[in-house]
Amino acid sequence: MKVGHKIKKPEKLNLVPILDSVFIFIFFLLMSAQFVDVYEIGSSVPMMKEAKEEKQEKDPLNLTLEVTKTQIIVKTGLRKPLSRTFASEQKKEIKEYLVELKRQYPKETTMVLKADPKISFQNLVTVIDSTQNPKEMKSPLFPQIVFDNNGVGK
Amino acid sequence: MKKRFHRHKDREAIDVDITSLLDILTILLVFLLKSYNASDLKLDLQKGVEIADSDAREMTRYAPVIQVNQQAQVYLNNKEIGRLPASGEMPVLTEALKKAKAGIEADNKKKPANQQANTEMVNLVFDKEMDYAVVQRVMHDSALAGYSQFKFVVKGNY
Repeated sequence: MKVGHKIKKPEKLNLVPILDSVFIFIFFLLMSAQFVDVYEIGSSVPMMKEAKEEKQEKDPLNLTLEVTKTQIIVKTGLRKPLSRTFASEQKKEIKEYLVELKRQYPKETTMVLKADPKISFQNLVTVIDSTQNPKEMKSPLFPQIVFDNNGVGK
Repeated sequence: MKKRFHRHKDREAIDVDITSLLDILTILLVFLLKSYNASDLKLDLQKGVEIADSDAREMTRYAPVIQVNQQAQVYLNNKEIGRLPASGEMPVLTEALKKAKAGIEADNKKKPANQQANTEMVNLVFDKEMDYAVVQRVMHDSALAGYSQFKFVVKGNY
């Protein structure tokens, strides 16, 4: 009654080609690896253009941020200027205010930044961060940042 | 002699267990894939430059790189230009930037339109404790050399 089944040994997988490709891939990745994740924040010099005088019903946003060591003043409007002062630590409140402004002026993309010459670069970057990429919005708030060299309060 | 010959014949190929090697390779592959950066800008940080942390996630692009360290030493494309003066402009930097711009423009002529580098753009790397006054002056010198798009290089924080 013995059935003459021969137990077949499973054939061994040939891993050589896959190992070759993995090694090549590793070398490629090692050569192109950058262990510090660097990104960029864009800014541009103010551009001049001749604007035709058009009657605008809505007052333009003209968003300006004045950054000092202790406070951030958000100024808006041209005909009826408004300003709101925040303490430097109130990053969340600034973001909420800017989100509200973006809802009112969805086409505006420019933000003028006036900073105290004594503030550190890290402080400036933190302020810029608080004005960009809120999680609740898909698009950035005011991605075009223009630095005003006149300084704060001028 | 016969015995010796026999012993040689009996030898079988040794089975090497490569499971652990494959494990290591897989881990290395995942780690390298995570740290892979598709940017065409290769940044070599100079001594005394600690870049600022940011939430920004925009990828860096190829352009001349200006680095300013804690001692106000200025580097353009990893070559030292000199120390930033206490006040006023830095003509050496402006001239070096103009040369770099001319070089990129000459390179662009040899390349097809879709592979040409942006000649208006400059990457700025500052030490995070650097005063904004220095940033302003470097931007001013870059603008004098014909650059209108400034990209601040920052470190991604998670």
